[in-house]
Amino acid sequence: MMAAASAPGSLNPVARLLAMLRLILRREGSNLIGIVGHSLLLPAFICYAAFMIAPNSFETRQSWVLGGIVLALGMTSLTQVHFAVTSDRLLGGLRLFSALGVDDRLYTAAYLAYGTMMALLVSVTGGAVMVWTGLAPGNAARLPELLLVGTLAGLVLASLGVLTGLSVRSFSMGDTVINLLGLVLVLVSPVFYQANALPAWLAPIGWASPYTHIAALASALANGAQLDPASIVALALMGLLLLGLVRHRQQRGES
Amino acid sequence: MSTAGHPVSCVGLQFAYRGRPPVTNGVSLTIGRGEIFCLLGPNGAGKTTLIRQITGDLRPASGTVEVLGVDPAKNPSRIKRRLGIIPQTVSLFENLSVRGHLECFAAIKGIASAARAGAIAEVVAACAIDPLLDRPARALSGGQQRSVLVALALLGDPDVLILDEPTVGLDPLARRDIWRAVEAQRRRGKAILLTTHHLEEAERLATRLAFIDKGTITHQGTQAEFLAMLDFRVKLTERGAADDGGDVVHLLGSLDEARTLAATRGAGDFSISAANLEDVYVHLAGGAAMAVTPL
Repeated sequence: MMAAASAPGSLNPVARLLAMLRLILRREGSNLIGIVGHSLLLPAFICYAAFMIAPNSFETRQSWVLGGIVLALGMTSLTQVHFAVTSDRLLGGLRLFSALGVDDRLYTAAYLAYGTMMALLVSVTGGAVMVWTGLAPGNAARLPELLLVGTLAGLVLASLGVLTGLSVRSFSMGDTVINLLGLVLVLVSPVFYQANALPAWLAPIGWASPYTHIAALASALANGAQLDPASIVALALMGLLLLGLVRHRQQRGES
Repeated sequence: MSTAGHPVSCVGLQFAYRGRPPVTNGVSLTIGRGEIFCLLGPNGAGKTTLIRQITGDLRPASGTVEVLGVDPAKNPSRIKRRLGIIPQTVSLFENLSVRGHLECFAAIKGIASAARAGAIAEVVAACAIDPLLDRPARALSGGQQRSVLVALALLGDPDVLILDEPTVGLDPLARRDIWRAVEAQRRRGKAILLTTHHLEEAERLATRLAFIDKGTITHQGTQAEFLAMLDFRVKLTERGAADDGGDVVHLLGSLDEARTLAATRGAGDFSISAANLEDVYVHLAGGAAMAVTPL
């Protein structure tokens, strides 16, 4: 006879979210080499190349290293989250979660938390690299701002990853969509160049890309400038919009 | 139909995917405590869609579902903590150990940390998966994975078990292990909904059955009531007697009739068996599985 103690306790949403996040980390953590390989080697190579190509141009090096960090943010938060959600959908993980009591909101919240953790990890590591290489002033007082930018970037990119993962019909389609999406978003954003280098006609399109605002905020942090509130608001609004779309997609999937 | 007091009750469930004919069309059923209710029907009959309405994953267009007195569609997360569900096609997370699965899902199900180790030990013992605990899911056979899924479903001592083809693809020994675990749960008073295409499984486990076709439950009853639908009790199979070399099956009312017929047919390879649930299934599904020779 099973003891009554094994019955589910009170429903604590935070405890359940942490448990779900722990499951994701344990699951994805076993693929750490893959994550590092896929997400960080290319940005690391870009940073290395910046030092090789422009050893005497501070601005060029700073711009390219910042670009590498923004790219790493996208490849960890957006791509990894998309890949995990797509796998869940296509390999039965989502049904397993659902069968064992994980509802849509808990699922989304866990992946947003996972994507945000990845973004924070990249932000802090990237910030340390910038300071270590002399490309940014080491100012501990700005750490909260760095964490704010990392959190917003993670939430937006992870939302985009969840939305893509919930929408694609196959792994190959997912790969194509995410590569194209990443490429277009990076191309229309001043990730590897100054914002004023964008053609005038591209500027409004670039404004709709989260990378534009992430790059602007990262650049402000690197240059000791103030964060642009418009970029913070824009990222927050994009996050809300994407969350709404994720919710809509989940409900449509059940109708 | 009185639904009061039943852990699971559905009345008039109707559901259709957009622009398609109804997948469930006025389905009503109840499942009591200590009962294994077996849902039979051909592929695409609406079994899994019905299950998804009971688990709260789909909201019926009309009709009502109550699981433990709650509408599952309104609060699927809350109700799922009291359900043990084994979906038809799921796989475990291949790099995560069995212990990792149990620990994580115990926490997700909301089992208090102090009670978690005990809860896990109980389901490990119930499903006999102790030797598998430290193995990653990718190193498990199909049968072992299904056993782990049963253990995950039993975590938290759920009041209702929903088993959607729980033994599909399993070898006979693994299937029997799962049957034992399911029967043990029935004896403990759980309400169990089972779908299966293995009629032997239904015969072994079901206390009540329903046949669903094109979204409608056409028959419900005990095994005896289902068998009573047939106008024969015994099958005499004459191997290789058909013109094309196939078997000829004679459907007869009693064992004596079968023996008499066998004697009159002379030498041959005969076998006599009792009518079973598979015959009822074929009868209800309108299949022509047997070449019947009238007496």
